[in-house]
Amino acid sequence: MFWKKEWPILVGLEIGTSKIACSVAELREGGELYLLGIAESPSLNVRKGEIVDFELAQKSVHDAIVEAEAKTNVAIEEVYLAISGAHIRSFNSKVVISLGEDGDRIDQKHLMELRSLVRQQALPTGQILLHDLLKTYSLDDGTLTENPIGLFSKKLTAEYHLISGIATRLQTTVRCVKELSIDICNYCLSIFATAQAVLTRSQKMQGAIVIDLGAGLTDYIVYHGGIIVHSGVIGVGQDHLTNDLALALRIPFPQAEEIKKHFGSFKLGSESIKKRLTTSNHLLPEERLVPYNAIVKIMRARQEEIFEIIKEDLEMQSFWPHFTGTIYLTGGGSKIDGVEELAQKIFGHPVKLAESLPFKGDQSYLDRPDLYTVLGLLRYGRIFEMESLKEGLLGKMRSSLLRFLGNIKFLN
Amino acid sequence: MTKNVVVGIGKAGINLLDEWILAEEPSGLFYALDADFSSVEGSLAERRILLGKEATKGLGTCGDLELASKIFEEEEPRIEQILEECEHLLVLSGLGGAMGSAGLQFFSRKASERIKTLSSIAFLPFHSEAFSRQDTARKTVQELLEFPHQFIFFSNEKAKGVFGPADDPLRVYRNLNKKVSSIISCWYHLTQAATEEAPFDSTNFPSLLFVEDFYSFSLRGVEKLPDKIQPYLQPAKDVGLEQNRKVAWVCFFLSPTKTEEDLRSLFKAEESLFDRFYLSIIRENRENMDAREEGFVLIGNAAGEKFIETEIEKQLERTDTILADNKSSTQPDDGLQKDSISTGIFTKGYKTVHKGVNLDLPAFLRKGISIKI
Repeated sequence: MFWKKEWPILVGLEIGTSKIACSVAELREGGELYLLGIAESPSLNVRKGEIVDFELAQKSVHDAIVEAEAKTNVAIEEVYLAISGAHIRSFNSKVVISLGEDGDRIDQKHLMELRSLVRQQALPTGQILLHDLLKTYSLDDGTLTENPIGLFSKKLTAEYHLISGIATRLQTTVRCVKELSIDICNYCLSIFATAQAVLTRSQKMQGAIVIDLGAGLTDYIVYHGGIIVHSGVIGVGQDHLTNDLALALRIPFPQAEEIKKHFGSFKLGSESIKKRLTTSNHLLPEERLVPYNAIVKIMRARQEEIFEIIKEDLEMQSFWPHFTGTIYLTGGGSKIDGVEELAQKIFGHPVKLAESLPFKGDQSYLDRPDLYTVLGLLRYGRIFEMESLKEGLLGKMRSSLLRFLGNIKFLN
Repeated sequence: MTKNVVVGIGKAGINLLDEWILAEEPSGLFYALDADFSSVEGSLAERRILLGKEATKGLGTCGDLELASKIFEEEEPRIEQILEECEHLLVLSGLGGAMGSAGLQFFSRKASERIKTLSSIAFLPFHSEAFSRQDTARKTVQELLEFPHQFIFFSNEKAKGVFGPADDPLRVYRNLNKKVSSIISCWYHLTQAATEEAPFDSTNFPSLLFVEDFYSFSLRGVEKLPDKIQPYLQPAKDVGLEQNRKVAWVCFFLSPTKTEEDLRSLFKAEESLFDRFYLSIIRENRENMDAREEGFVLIGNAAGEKFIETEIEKQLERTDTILADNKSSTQPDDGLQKDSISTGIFTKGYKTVHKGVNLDLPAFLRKGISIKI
């Protein structure tokens, strides 16, 4: 029997390449999040963040939900779902409205008009808009502002960071959850959620890049002057490091994963040349010695390439020459020895391992960078929940309607 | 005493032997030798010998060259019989694996001791195969230099795109086997037809030849042959080593109605293009000879030690270069790299392609980083 909860419940769900994670928290007085627990179950047949075998993946999601319910005594009916995949694209877009020759006082309806304009933008065939994140408003004299309401201008320009994905691929993920009779409150790009979990407002203002070194994908998001200016997803992740090891050493993937977890490093040094590992190989009758240096070289080659691809992309963006912020690494790959130094060498900016912002409640998950996305989903959900609480019953009905329409958008 | 014996060693050697037996249905003594029970058991050869039963329990040597050499030494009494009962020996093997490499060295040494003629056809590994296999192949070829036998090396890699689509190594390998089996036929007929008056002259076989191209033809197609040979001379010239020699070997099954001169006249122009030009003619007393009027032209590079070292090194280098150059190379229309290197767990699902490069392929291979394991 589940307890009847006194506080609104928020649930985050991430269908990751290596695991399905489900976080549950209470939204307590004053918008404080109280973490009840996180459940995990290994992902079956999820590659690069996308479901390859629907039934197996759905079973994993089901296992994670059941475990989360058992752990937290909460009946899970709706979730905030993290979305990712190599098909996700992001770009910036500007929309302008004219306020008449003599100008006009800007009000809420003008902002709504701009948002509606940006949502009407033509996307490539098969793509669907996931997020329209406002970057800034600018007035006719070039003044930049976050809140133009009450100001006078002849025209109003809004710049958005848009994130889109291929509808058919997203449908698979959505259906996988919905067929378990679980409602989806809202969708959130994984890296956007991760950034909510690790960045404070001042860090966003100072400039920050969050790079999530996930198993199947590497996601990144850039905050410059407090706003999101760029994001990206690469279909290469930590599984590629394992796969490279498995192919080079001719060992099964799970064994290569063990080697990566226990002995993996990006540090090339005199010690690594001397060191040798003993590894048993199921294909060979006896154990064999593997030079540690070889493991470092194999892993480093892949990780360097991932960072270089990100840097190449960043260098093409207009903000990059002015960027003076810090790079925060998160995800399972951030636990590998020497990753900070490697990133620093390639990006030429200060690099830190990301830390979760404080939560009340269960503290045992806060040092797990691979769970920061589901923790971030709770913070993302809090924004919506607080808004609807503010708006009362009408607001709740409105958000339910929007949610319903959103689901239709994905399922059609 | 039997005149000629064909021995297939290891999986590659046995595959080739089986292909020939299937195509020719020859009568004679053919041996299949391996430490892997499944490959020996499945062979079409009349005599099948499982080696190293004690050491590997019939599971094969798993690429352990040292173990394979030990097995051949230990099993010498059983193998010796093969050498004793023949005049001419043809060894078929793949280099890179353990049994084929160790076996060819073993037979070469034993044949030298017993002053028997030994010819061999060996396959060099695909570039996509492990570095350790390339390394074993290189070492084996260098070892073979000291023996006065006839070795013909076929590069599996060079056969890609010639004997099958470049992205289907299995098909390439199968078709290459089919083509190469005609060389076995040639050797078999020449040795079988040898008499005291006209003994088999092993020097009629090119020695230490790295095959650049292989072309089969029928008498009707001979007139067109020069055009087809011409393009293949270029790679041999490009090697630019003094010791390198361009070699062509024409082998033809000729009907009794045609004279040797008839055939030789067709290749007059070509003879001057090569440093060495071999012409082997096999006469068969079959009734339906018209159907058999066919042969092959084998073009390659043969030379001394320095050239061979360079050639093998070049193969290893090429593995690095091809992979490293993928970024700059012209990609096929779909932008995907058509290489046979395994992508492991990423074989299924969406490929990750960045600027025409398949990122699912191991990064260290694409970057040409050498890993010594």
